[in-house]
Amino acid sequence: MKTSLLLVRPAIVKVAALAFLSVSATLISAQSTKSIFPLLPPSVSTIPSNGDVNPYGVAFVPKMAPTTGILQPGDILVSNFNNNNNLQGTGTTIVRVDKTGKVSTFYTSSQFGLTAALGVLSDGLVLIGNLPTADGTAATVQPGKLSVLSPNGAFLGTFGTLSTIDGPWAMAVYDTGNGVSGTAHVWISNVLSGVVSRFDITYTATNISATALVLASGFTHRTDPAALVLGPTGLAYDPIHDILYVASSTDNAVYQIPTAAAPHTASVSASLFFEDPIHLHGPLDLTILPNGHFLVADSDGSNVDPNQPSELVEYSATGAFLGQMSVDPNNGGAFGVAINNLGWGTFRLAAVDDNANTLSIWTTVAQ
Amino acid sequence: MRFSPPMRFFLTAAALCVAANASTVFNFDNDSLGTSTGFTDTVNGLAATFSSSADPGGFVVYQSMFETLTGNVLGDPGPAGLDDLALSVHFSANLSAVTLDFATSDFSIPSPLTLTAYENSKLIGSASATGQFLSGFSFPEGEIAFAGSPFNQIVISSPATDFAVDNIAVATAPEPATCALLGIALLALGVPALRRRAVIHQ
Repeated sequence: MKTSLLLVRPAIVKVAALAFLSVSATLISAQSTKSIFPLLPPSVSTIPSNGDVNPYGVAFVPKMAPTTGILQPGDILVSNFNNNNNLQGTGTTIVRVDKTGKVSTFYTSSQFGLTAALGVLSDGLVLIGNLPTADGTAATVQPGKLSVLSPNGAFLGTFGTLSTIDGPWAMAVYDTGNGVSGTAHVWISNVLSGVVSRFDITYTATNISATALVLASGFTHRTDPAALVLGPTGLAYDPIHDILYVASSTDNAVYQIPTAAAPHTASVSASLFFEDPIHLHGPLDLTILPNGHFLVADSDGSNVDPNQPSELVEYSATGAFLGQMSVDPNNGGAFGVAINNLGWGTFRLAAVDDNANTLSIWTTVAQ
Repeated sequence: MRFSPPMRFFLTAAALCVAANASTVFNFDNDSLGTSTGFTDTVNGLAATFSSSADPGGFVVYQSMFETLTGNVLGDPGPAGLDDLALSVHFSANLSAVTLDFATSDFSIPSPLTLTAYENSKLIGSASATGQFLSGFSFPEGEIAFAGSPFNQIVISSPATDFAVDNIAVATAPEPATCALLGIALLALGVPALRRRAVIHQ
């Protein structure tokens, strides 16, 4: 006799339970005694005590990060590119926004011009790139570095050489760590060389090491009197298909690099995923939503349209335009953007407004 | 159709077994919303302890947002806020079969769900199933079943970031003593019947 035949469930159970069906995609965990307050404010200032402005990078602290340091799971880090005189490439601070929306200075660097190349590993180690200038102009721009910080904001060292770090502009992280140790792939877009490099990082509680390679090259790039530099910028990694997506602020397109995490002895070719001169205006940051859609932040560094200022633009998984939302009424406000997956399509979205020097945070559901 | 008395006895016993096992379903509908792992539910005297590596709070009981999973369900992420977890269920008695409904947090390609059965940490076997997108619902849903040698623990896992389970229906493995008693009873009833039949034929 097949024992599975014994597993009879009365149909009436299902019929009765259908009455309780909810089509809402919002997780409900009611009847808790915990208060919902304080709510994270929808927008917080990103200006630290030293007056740095021009927030660029945004990164969430991973859920499994240890709670023993300053950084806590779910915190948001924001890097500042300009100093208090609004000179590009001279900002030195990373601010921390905690779960209640309280803002504090997490790190003050000796390196100038902290960029959108900002990420956090599972154990709370922070990676930050910089692209310094002496006077805020493209004439004095330098290659910069990729620095490693402890979860308490202490400088630990740098990674890379000029072939793999030359204007680190944005970052994608794929980390399989467990909160204490692990391995991670970290991709960097280099805006001064048009190179996308990859760092294969191994870390433990006491050590972090990396090997670096040039994953792809040949992305168009140039200096710009207003935007400072244009080139390969926002990166987003799709682990299911092993594809790295690259937003290009020079030609208003998104490219794809296959086998992005695989071993390589030579660089691989990137191909055009989609271009959209109507809705892409100097795309700077890029992220993938839980449903596979793409979210692009338009810096307005090129292809400026006064009627579409500072847009966050959503594309389908196949690159079809779906919609957009302006984060500032003037051009040049949308830069860093990041999401934190809360489960079942619910996610927290954080995006900076470069004009107002604020970080906005929303919780929404991908459909 | 008329059955002989021994056959009637056997069918009655089998029907009673089916009825008893059919009602051993863990559906979380009597758990308060927000109940999180580890916790134990007891149905018909059978206790099931739900746990994960992220406890306290790896998985949580919440209201269904699915079609085949109804009422309350158990899924991640729980209060611990972690994804990519495996759910372990320890039972207070040996089982011979289990089936359950599940959903995975996929938007495009449904991820498989794997159920692995153990008897006191010894691997018994496993089964895998992939859900399907149902019209009007966001996430793939499916059913998975396993039957085999007696087991008292199942571990449920999936490459999907999160998953939820419901309607965990189990069949307890017959105890050896129960089997022996049933055999003796059948023998006691069957032998006289055969004797009677033999006398009549004479």
